[in-house]
Amino acid sequence: MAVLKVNPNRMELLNLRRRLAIAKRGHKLLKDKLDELMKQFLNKVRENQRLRKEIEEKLAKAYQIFAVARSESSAEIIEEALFYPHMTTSVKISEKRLMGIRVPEFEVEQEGTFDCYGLSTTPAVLDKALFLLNEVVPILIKLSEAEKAVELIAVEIEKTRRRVNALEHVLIPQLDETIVYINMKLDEAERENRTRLMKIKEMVSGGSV
Amino acid sequence: MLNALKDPLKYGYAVGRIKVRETKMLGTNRLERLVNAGDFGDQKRILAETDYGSFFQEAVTPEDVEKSLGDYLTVLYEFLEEIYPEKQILFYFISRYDFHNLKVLLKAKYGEKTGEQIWSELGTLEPESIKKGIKEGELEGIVEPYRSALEEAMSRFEESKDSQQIDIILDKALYELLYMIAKKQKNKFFIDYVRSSIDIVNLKVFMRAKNLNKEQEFVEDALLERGFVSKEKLILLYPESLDIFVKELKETPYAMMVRDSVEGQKFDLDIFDRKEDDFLVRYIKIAKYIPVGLEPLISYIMAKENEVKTLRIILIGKLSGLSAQTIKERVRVQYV
Repeated sequence: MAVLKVNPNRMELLNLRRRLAIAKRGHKLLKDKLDELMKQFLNKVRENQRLRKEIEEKLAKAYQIFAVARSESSAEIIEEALFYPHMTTSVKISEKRLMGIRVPEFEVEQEGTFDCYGLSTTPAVLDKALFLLNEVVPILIKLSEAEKAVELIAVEIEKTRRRVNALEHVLIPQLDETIVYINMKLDEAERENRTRLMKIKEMVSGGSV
Repeated sequence: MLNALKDPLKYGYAVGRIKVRETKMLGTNRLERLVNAGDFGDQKRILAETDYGSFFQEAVTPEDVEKSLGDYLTVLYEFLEEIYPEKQILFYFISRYDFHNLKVLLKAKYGEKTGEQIWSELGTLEPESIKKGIKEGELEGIVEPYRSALEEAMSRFEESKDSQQIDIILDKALYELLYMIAKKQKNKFFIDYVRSSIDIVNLKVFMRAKNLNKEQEFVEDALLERGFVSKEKLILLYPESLDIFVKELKETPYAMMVRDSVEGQKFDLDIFDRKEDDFLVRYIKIAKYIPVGLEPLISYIMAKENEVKTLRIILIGKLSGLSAQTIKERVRVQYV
């Protein structure tokens, strides 16, 4: 590991020691954050999986019933039935902070009913198909919220992990080594000085003899 | 003149023609083969043996199937017109497409869409003139009973801004027209058929409305007149529990149909559409034993419509990947 390019003096040593202490504290904090993020991430992923499974089951069923409704009468009749819907779905988007990450929060609001067609000339099974599809919509939006959160947490985890790694494998060893290096340099200078002093003393005392 | 003398003269030719055609209908066995066929290609090979064959040669997608079936119905109605020139009977069968088109036009007008893609080609109304009339609110050029139905539907929509009202008004007008056509023919079989079908539609509306938790006013408005089971009776039964509803209908021919549809506090209407058609086909089956008259003639056309419907379920069901079991549950009873 490369040693930082600094002047090997006591001042720098004190500086580096301070930096090392901060880096170590930062590293610990970031590591804790990473652990917590991982926990949140796994929770969200689990929730995600549950929602996805639920949706897949519900959608498969809804599509099947819808395919039945679709085959029960001509395409024109089904399309006419759904030509002028009077149900509106709106999604309110707000933000929530999760471990300092801004994740979106979707709130679904549905107004009106989905039966916008005559009940006499359309197949009865259409009601069930639409009921099931209608049930899926809020869960789908919930799923998109969970998936976005997972994505954002994943990005944050990656960022934090990079920082932790940089601290752990680059900065802290570098500081450590530099401190050792400066220490050695200083010791060396100390020894050099001592030797020099001894030599001078010897010369001085020898010369006087 | 006595009917015994009048009927052979009036219907002899037409019934003769349809009796030949009746033997060529698909029948339960062939439909079963179609249900159990591996894929659409196999189904086409089976259909090639029938008079549907030429219509399906090029069909690949569900849209093609729809088009082929539409073409088949066009030819069927042309055949009816050819063998029996009285327009009223043909009108009985195709007026529903006109009403469909009127619904499309009204919803297109209010929803500011074009709606051309869901226009039915089987109706009698000319799209261009009527489209212009509806768009500009000039209904003078439109014939009755469409005009008054349109006027009512438009004023109702403008008042409530509810697109469902358009369907309710036009459906009511359609069934009133069907009843009037049957009444004009002074044929008990025909009139009873229409009244039975109105009953079944009313039961369907009743049960669907109940499932959808609709208000009492909705059923009061949407139920049709002229059925054997009076509208008033159904309205009175609407707030009651399902048990009372089933009990009250016990003496009617629909008792079984209704009883089987109850599941807990709801109606299970998954296969109600089939039951509805089965009931009516069983009714028209009597006509097979009437040697000559209006009965076998209209029954044949109704039976063909039922056959086309069944075929649509089988073919589109297969193309949409429904299992043979699901399709089988929905295959209608056939006339032959």
